[in-house]
Amino acid sequence: MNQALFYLILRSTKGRIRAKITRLKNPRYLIGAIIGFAYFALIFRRRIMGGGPSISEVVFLSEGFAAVAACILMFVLSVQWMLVFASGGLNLNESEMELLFPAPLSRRALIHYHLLKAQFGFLVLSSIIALFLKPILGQAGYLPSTFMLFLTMNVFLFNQTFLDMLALVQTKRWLFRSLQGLFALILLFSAIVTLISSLQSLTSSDPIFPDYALVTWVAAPFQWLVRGFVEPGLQSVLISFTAQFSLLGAYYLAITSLSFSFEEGTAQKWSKRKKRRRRFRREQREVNSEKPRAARSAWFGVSPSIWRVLVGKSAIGLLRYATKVPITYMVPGFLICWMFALISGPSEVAPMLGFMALGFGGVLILAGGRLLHLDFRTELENIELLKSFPVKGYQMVISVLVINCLVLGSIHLLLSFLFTLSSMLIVDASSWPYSPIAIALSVMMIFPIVSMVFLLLENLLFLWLPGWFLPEKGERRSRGFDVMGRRIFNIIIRFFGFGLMIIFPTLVGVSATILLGGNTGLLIGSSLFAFGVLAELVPAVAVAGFLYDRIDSIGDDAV
Amino acid sequence: MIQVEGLSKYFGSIKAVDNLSFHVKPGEIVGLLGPNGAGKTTTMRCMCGITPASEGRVIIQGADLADDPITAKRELAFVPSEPRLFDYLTVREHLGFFARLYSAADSETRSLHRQKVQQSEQAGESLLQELDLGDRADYLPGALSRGMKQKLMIACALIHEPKILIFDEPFTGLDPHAIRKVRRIIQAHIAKGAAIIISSHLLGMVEDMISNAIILSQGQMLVEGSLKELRQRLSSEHQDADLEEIFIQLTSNNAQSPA
Repeated sequence: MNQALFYLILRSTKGRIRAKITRLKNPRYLIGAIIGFAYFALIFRRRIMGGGPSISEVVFLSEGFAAVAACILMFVLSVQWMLVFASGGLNLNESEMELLFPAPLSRRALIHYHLLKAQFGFLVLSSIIALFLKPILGQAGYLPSTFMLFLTMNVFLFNQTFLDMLALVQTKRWLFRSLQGLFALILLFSAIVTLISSLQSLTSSDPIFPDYALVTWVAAPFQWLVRGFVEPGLQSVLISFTAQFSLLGAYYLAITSLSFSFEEGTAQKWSKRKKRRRRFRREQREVNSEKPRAARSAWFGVSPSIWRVLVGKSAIGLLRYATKVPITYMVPGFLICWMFALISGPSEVAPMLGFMALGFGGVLILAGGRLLHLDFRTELENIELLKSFPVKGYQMVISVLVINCLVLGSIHLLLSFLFTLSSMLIVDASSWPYSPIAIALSVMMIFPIVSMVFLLLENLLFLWLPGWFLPEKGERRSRGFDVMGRRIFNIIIRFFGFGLMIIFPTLVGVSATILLGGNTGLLIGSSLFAFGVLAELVPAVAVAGFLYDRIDSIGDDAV
Repeated sequence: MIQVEGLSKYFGSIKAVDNLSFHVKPGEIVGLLGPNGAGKTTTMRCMCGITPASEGRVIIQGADLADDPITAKRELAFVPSEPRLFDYLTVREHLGFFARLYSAADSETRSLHRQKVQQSEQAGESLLQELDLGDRADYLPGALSRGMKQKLMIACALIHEPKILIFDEPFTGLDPHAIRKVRRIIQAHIAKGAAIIISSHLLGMVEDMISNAIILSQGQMLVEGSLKELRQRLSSEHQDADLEEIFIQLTSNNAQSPA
């Protein structure tokens, strides 16, 4: 390892920690940290104090759980392969590219730097999480297991960047992408077949796919990868570690020995990003040059070219959401746990699911803004451009946010379908109070709406309202994004905003479900919940549009 | 000395740089000029190894950048137009990092290496003082203005006393005092025998610094030569033209010619 790069990693880590600690001198960050800590302490209190069974007793020992986890892994990987990525494990940021590429460093040194930087961060993060998880998991393998999870993610990121870089430097890029897509489809098919077959095997001895043996060859390596995380025991951990390091080693050898240019790939990635921004500016000019007559005849008062720009950007958003694993999969994760725990979950797993829902919810509430960092705020980096569009605030909010919400909602609809299907298969539905179809329909009604609310709130209440209510002293006009740093208010508003928007439709929905009873009650309750939340979005968008018209700066803190 | 031979760079079907050849001798400053999109930055990025060239060679102090990049880059420094720094390294740590980065490669023993790092760090300290960054040495880049970041980039580039310096728009964002100081530093390096390539749209600022100018247009070299030689290419009425006038005359002629 190059001494200078080691110096860079150590000093950067020190600087990062120092900056985070120094920030706590500021009361708003200190209060935010206390609230965050208190939230988790409250959730974990019973577990930490030793009450209740450990999660490992409920989940990790479930038969066939490794197969299900491997399928999820295959599903995520196939989605990653099908889509083009903007980020990845081997990506150097612009500073690294500008400062390290002209330096006398070999490609190998740069790769070592990146590997070490990532592993170091993962190890620190794993240790912190493991400390939290120790009382919950209640077994010795918690630290390697947590580290394993991050290692798996790292292998994915490696895979993603490596393929992307290879594709970028290909002359016949379309051929490379087509092959990549084909492999992804094979993987997806294998994941579905394995999932259904393995779940079926829990309740029945008859395999539903006669050629299942062929698919097991595809699924087996993924099961090796996840075993250490989902199953306790030294043997599982060793198998996973071996699989992970073999894969990492293969990537390492490929990256260091193949003739493709790491520098070329990185430079082209940044070039692509700049081109995208230039295209946005060009489209903005087209929008501005459009005659008002065209705008009058448009849908919602927004001219067709604006719609084109925004829909086009949403296509980029689609990729972003699909690849933002935490936010895309954590919201449905939260909802699934919540749904099954509170509505129809089997009694033996309900407390565990409820606990997991609280955990997911807490992470979303505290880290949601961070996870969505590249979402709408990225659009708002171009606030000057957006403000120059000949549209009113509410139109802009509808155009930008609702389209993004629909994209996210659509992804969640698909995920909810897959999750509901697998959940129906994994548990014996005969003991449920509702039919699996009614549950599936209600989940599919609720998921997209809740994800829309989440996204809207994240971007509106958490971002705009604090700025509006807390203008800088002596300023005549609000400077919404300049006060984004007031995270404590964001957290409070995020927490209570989400709760307030959800509570009334939830009360109505649950009341209808209980009063009417049965499958009809569930469906009507879900519909009332969904429509109730949708109705609340109308004033929320109006308020947001009103605020949007008054924002004249986003400030550095916001982005 | 830096030598560029038949350098071309393609981005898909777009030819950003087209068969460019020139060389810069020690003690010489060459101005790389051209309208927006002419290929100046791409050329510079190819010359310092950020973007590999599609065709052609770049030879730095006798070492081919493609075949022996580490030897070639050891004597090179690049200052990009946008100052990009590491978010969590202080000003002083940036200099410490660059001191280690360029000292590590050719140090035979640990003590010699440590000695070289210390020397570089001392040079960095005096650069900080010279560029009025001494009181900001413990600040993170987020607390610096754009001009200060630019000055830090320049200090980082100069810390190892490079023989080849490539500046892309070095004066952007600097105040007049800083511009004067940077010009003085550049001239000091020229006096020490460095070869410098500079790109700037502030033509009046570089006019009296450069010994030769290369004007690019659409990725191709339009003209190369000293100011006197460039003037000779213009009509008799422009024989007293300054660099800006020369640039406008030559590039507008080129822009009209395809039509």
